[in-house]
Amino acid sequence: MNRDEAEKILRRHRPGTPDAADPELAEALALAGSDPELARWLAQQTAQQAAVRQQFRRIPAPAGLQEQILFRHRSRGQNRFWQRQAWLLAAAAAVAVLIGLPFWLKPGSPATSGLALYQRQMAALALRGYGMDLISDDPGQIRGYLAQHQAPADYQLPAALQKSVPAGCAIENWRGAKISMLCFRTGRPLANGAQSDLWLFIIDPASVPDAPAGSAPQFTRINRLTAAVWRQNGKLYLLGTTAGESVLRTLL
Amino acid sequence: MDNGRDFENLVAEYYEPLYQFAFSLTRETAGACDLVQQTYCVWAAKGHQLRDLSKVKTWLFTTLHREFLGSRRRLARFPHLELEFAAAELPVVEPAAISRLDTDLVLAALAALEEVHQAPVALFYLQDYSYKEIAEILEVPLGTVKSRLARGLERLHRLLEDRITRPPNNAVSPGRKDL
Repeated sequence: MNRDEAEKILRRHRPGTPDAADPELAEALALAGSDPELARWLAQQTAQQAAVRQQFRRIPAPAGLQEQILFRHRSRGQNRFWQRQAWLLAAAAAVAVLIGLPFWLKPGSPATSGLALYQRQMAALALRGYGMDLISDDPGQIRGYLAQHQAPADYQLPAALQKSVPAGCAIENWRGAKISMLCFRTGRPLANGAQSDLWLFIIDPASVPDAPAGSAPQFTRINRLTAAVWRQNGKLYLLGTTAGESVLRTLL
Repeated sequence: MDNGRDFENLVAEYYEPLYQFAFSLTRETAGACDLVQQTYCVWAAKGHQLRDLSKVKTWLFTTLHREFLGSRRRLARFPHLELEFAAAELPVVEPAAISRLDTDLVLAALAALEEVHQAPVALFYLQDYSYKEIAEILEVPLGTVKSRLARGLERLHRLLEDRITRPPNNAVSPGRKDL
């Protein structure tokens, strides 16, 4: 082994690691022990390696990442639990239907309305917690992710909403149909632990029997969420926010 | 192992080094977060198949790297960078110059390496993995890891030397992918 070959091998030497057990490295280190010039080069090389390593290890993980991983895991765990307990859920649902049948059959009851139910469930999702499948402020990346997972991706955002900062997206299911859930920030202070305060849900209107036919937004309020619903180009849109109706109207 | 406290411990122990590896590959926060999230999702779904629990860390890094390669294939959004390397003679790096290194500069240099060199070099610095472990994580032969490390490290150091020995008035701010 000559000096050039030894230098090439010694570039991947990390003192204090199992590297020295590598036969090639052991031979190169032995050569450095008998060659002062190579030893000097190795000392400089080692110092630079340490400096580079230090910079790599300074990459900080974003605050909240750990909590988000755990939150998402718990959410999925709960879903799996209920899937396993499907028979129990079915029995409970049957009992609930029998008890509530007179109310459910009452004409005009919101509970029988597909749209009302859809709105309430999307509001619950936004207000009670969800896990984003993709955290990104890149609209193109979000659209690509949704398309890749066969969720509605050929949506059209209102012009004003296009100026809002996206935070990410999630894919949800409702009555067997995929929903694209886009999360945004209005720019107002977020509640503790909240990642967004503006959400856009997009679904095939065929899955919501009494979905509005027109493109004019219909406003409603569900708990703390103000929402607008409209249909456009074969998609049903629901835009909701906790920032109030006045803010919502500026985004449409 | 895939429940409750064990999962929390696994996240607490490895999410930071996994994020560092992911960020060194993607150079963007959102993409790196997504890779780490996805890695733990895969663990939640398939981790029980791992029989040797001493290999958990390697398994997580391997999974993250697979997810990264998969996402790259799908998105194909990282441009290839043409480089001109310095002449064969390496300038001597003075200790003062070494102190001018910062993380952005190092990551920009990493981004300028050939794609196949980036992951082994990142693992070489981020974790004290043996060459054999790096080979397991990247799922390539040991000899391939050694040769990729040799070439990748040499180029990385040349790029850094070129940057930190350049006169300050010619210095480029250490942004992303600007080498």
